[in-house]
Amino acid sequence: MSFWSRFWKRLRPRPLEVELASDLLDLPEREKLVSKISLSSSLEKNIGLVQEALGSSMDLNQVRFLCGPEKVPAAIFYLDGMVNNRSVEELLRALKIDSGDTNPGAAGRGAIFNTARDLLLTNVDVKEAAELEELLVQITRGMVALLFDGTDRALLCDTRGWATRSLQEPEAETVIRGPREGFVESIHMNTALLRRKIHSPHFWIMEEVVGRLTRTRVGIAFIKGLADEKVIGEVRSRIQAIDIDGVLESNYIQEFLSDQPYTLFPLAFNTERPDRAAAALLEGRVVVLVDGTPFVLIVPNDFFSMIQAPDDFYETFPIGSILRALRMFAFIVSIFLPGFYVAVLNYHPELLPQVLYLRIAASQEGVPLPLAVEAFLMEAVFELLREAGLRLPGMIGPAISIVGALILGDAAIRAGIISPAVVIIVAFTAIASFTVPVFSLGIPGRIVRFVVILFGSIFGLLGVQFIAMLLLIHLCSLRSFGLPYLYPFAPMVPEDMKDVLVRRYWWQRRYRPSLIGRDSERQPPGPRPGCRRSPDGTKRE
Amino acid sequence: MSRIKRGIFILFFAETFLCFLLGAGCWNLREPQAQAVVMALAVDLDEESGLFEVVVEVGVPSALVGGGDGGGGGGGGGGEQPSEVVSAKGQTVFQALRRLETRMPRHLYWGHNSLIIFSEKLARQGIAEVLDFFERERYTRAITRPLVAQSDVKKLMQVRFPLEGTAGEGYVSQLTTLEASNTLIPPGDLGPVIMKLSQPGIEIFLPSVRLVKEEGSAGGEGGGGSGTGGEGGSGGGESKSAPSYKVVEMAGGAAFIEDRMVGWLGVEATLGWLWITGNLIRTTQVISCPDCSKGLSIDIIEYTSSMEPMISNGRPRVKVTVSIDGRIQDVGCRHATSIEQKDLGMTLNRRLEESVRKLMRQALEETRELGSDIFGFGREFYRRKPKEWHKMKDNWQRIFQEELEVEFEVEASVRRVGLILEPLQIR
Amino acid sequence: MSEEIISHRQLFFIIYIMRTFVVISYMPTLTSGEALQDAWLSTLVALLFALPQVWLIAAMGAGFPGETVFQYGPRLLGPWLGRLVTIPFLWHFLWIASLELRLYAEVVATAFMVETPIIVVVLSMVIVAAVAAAAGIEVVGRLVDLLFPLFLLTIVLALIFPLIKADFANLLPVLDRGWGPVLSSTIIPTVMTSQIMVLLVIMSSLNRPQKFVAKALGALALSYTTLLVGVILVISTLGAEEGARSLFPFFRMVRSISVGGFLQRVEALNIIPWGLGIYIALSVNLWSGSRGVQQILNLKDYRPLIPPMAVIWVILSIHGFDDVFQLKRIILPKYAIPVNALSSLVPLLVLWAARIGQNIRRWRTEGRRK
Repeated sequence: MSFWSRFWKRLRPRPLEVELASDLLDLPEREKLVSKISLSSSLEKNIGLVQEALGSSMDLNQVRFLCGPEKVPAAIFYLDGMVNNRSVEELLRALKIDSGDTNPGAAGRGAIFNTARDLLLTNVDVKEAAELEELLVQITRGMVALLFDGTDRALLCDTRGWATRSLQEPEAETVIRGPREGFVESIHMNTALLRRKIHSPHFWIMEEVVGRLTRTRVGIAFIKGLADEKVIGEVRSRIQAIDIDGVLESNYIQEFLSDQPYTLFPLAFNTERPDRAAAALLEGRVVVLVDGTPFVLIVPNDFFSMIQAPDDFYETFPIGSILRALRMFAFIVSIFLPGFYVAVLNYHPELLPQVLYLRIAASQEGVPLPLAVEAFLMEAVFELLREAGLRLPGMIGPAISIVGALILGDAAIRAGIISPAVVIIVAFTAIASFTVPVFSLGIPGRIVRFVVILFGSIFGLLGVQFIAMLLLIHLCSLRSFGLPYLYPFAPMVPEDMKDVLVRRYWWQRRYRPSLIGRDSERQPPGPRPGCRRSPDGTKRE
Repeated sequence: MSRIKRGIFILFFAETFLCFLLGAGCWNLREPQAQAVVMALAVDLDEESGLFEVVVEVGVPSALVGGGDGGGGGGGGGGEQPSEVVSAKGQTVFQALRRLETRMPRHLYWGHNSLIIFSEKLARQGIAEVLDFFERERYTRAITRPLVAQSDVKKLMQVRFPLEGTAGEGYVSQLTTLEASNTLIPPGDLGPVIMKLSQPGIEIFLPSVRLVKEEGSAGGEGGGGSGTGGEGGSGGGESKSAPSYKVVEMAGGAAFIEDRMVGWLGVEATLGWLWITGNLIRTTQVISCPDCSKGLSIDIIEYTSSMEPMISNGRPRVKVTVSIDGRIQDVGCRHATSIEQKDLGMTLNRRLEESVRKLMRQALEETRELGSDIFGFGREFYRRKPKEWHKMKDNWQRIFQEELEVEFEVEASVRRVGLILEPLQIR
Repeated sequence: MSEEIISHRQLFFIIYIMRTFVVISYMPTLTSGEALQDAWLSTLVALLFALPQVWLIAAMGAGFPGETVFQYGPRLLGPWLGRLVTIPFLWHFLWIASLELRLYAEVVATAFMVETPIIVVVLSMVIVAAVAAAAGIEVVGRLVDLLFPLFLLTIVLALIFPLIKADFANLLPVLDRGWGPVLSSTIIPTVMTSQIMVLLVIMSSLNRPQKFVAKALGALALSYTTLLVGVILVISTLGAEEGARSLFPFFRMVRSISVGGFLQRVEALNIIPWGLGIYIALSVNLWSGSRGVQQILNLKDYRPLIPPMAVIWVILSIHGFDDVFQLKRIILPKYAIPVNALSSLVPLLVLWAARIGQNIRRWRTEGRRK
């Protein structure tokens, strides 16, 4: 509304009774009004209230019928598309047909309510509501609201069912070996996916509701007795403190949960894979599920968990360790390589072998741009291509970025605008950055890379060292829910370091990471597989 | 953060960014395409004016690398020279270099220079000043290899090596190859040279280089060195029919007293020096067959050499002990006599020992003439008998030339003969 | 203000890094005094002299767990005298840190970025150190945990490569001039050990400082051992005389490494530990200094003190020394000894005297009670 219409609106005297359907109210006032209304005994009035409140939305369906041997007028409301039609049919059958078989109660019209609730309805979840607001909220959740004439309460029956995506492997986190399930948008199904992995009764999921308008259901999952109570408490209190109009994605919550909101590095880990979430739970971490998004959050988070891919645990020790080291190396390369290249070539060429330097100098001959600008430009172009590839639909996207990169790069080299060495460096950096298994860790990398190029081109290796130190200091000072970010390395915990650097065999992994959960021992000191038993069968070597 | 602070920050970063974008770079920025890469440096002394003359060889990267990529300007095939030779004079080395820069379109970049050639005139006057420049200047390194030139320095810098791009590269690879397979020169770079200059009782000994042929023609080995003791011949660089190729020989060296050159040492003397000081890496000794005058080559695989200073009868004395392990490489005689025979083997060993002793004696003789203790006998006295050294050190040159007794003890054993035992039988 | 705790191991690393990078960079036993080829003996003797110093410092800190010298100083000597006696420590931190800063900046300016004005180099160091100090000693501890392997690795590599060209005979003759020159070379390293004085402030962040004294001695011993190996190698590769007259012998040695014809120009192997060392040393000094000021003036938090202190630092390191010669001269005994003694040794001894006095009084009163 424009300023003037609002202004006039405030000038005009308000009638005492304002209709819900009135256009004059803005949202907070509507909410306040709705929260004050209770249901009345009159069916007609209730129907009117519901229709007004929901604005006779097109998906609001209403069925009126007579129920019970006394033929009490009744009505159900539900939102089309949010309910499972078969459940609704079952409900109606119970109410319309089966109700006839019940004995007429002596308590009058009110009896039908109790009869319905106790005898007739076979839904899994039946609640009562006396306030309009509660009724409306549940209708929007996909429940069926059942109103009887003469009763000022309503029954809410769980008939939820809606279309949801089938379980697919998440695109952003693929593995060679391992389960190919991914979370979906319904929190309902996501909790089920987790339950299927952890059948322990000590696996608890607490519910919170966030967002005034979206009323998103958020689940806080943990293994009671294993996860740190302080972390659980902190997570809950922070989520409860969120007062926002809507939560559409887990990132909204992630930002509220973050200890240091201004950092580029993700302080909560997000994943689409149930196996990762379950592994984190087993370590004693807390998982936050958000309805409407397949990405769940895991806190506390540390840097080295993000370098690990689930593959590491499903393949054997040598390959897991080598790949992990490779990924770590690739991550560092992807941040520092272009800056390093610029710094060395411009300021410290003597570090390169003579032949290499001559070759690069030769390829640099005649190129109009200074080296630093070239590198910066190429990186920017690459980011452009990457983003374009993401946004283009389906099959075309990746193809176009590849083609674009090839053609652009080649043409630029031919025209003598860019030297081939820079293109190689940029391409290599890009490939290195793709090895990071967690996308949200790639983001700080992409940003910092440009800063490194900037400093490398101005101050040479001194500048690169400067930025690297600042980055390290920043990382060392980060904490995620009390866990230091560079966890086994920063406060050096030697036992845990062994598990991060290399991936030991499962039968060697005796302890859980000591700073995360409470109970350390994952498995008792056990024998190596394949060892012999002593003659009496009891001792093993 | 207050708005003013924020404004200042933004201004600062914007300015930095702009500076960077405009490529103004910062104080030390050296874009590769703005550099002239120095491949070799030579320093000469201009006798009339007493000025230093520096000669610099600068590589042209695109010509060196070849136009493989097809982009980035010129290069590729034939026409372009891989390097340019420029020279300038000045009162000090540094001043000469600065004057040199006035003749170049680009800034001189020293970081990859690995060769320095001193002309004989300069060497005789003293190389200390050049070395001082080398040590101070941050881009020059002690891993540079020194050479003393017997021919004209400028011509040496203009040599085209067949397999390498620039003269600098060529010289360095020739040096390293020589060292590894067929040592005829004192090995090492400027590091040990500077170290030896500062140490008492040892003089420096630098390798020499000279041009042998002006016009090239196929075949033709250079002169230099003959006789039983050493192997003569050129150190590398074949000649080709194109007239610009010259043959470069590195054999022998220049002996110094302090930082001034006093004379050349021939190939045999150099070999002797190598044997005595233990700097020999690989070599072949030729001895004559027992019966005939044909030659027999023995490849020296392993050897140890040590110097022991002592005072006997009040006179200083050094005992040089060498023990050799050899392998027959090439037998010139056609006699059916098996060289495996025990007494023949003995003769072989004795002959080998004698030939090595001869080399060492020659080295001693020639250096005594020059008065330069390049072996470091004095240093050995300093190290192991410091008290006696203190008495001798002021007179050491004279003592070396006249009083010092040197005893050579050589023990050789030829153990292996290669893949065949007897020489090729021709019936 | 949150509690900042570092572990024993982190402190060990800090001491090691702080001491080693200084001695490795300009090798005082070789470049000062006249020991020449006997410099390795000087190193051993210097270690002997340094150990009691470190013991004095560490044992002092261990006696007052959780407190810095600025807190227990006034307690021991009374509020005014205590403050007066501990203020020289602040000056000491400042002086040592600006010296080290200038040294490193000189190296960079001489050997690397020749045309860059030195203020840029100094600023870049100080900014990082200020950020680290503001983040707290705990973060510095974590940083050290992370960087120590790299530090060690580069030093070890730099010590291994020269072995190929090393001529150990350069170490002869041994002691031909007697012990005099040997001892003359031990003066400066012993004096410079006082840089460990920051321990007095850092130890307050240890959770069990009593057990640390042995580790402090161990760190120092390890550091001197590293120096020993370095000295031996430098003498063997550069020669004793050349090593003694260079400004930065280790650096020169690393520059002369040439292995297999391709592994050359590995100066980075020297610059990396140097850079790391200076960052750690600077941040520790800055942190200790600002904590000190905070405690002496009874302020609430030390963080706001850091920027002004950093600025003072920058100014001092740039204008404190006009040229390299002054830099070298201040390390000579005739200047270094009095400055050091007054700003660190004397206050330390005064504190010790007070502490012993207190202990004696306590024993006497306890004896009387019994």
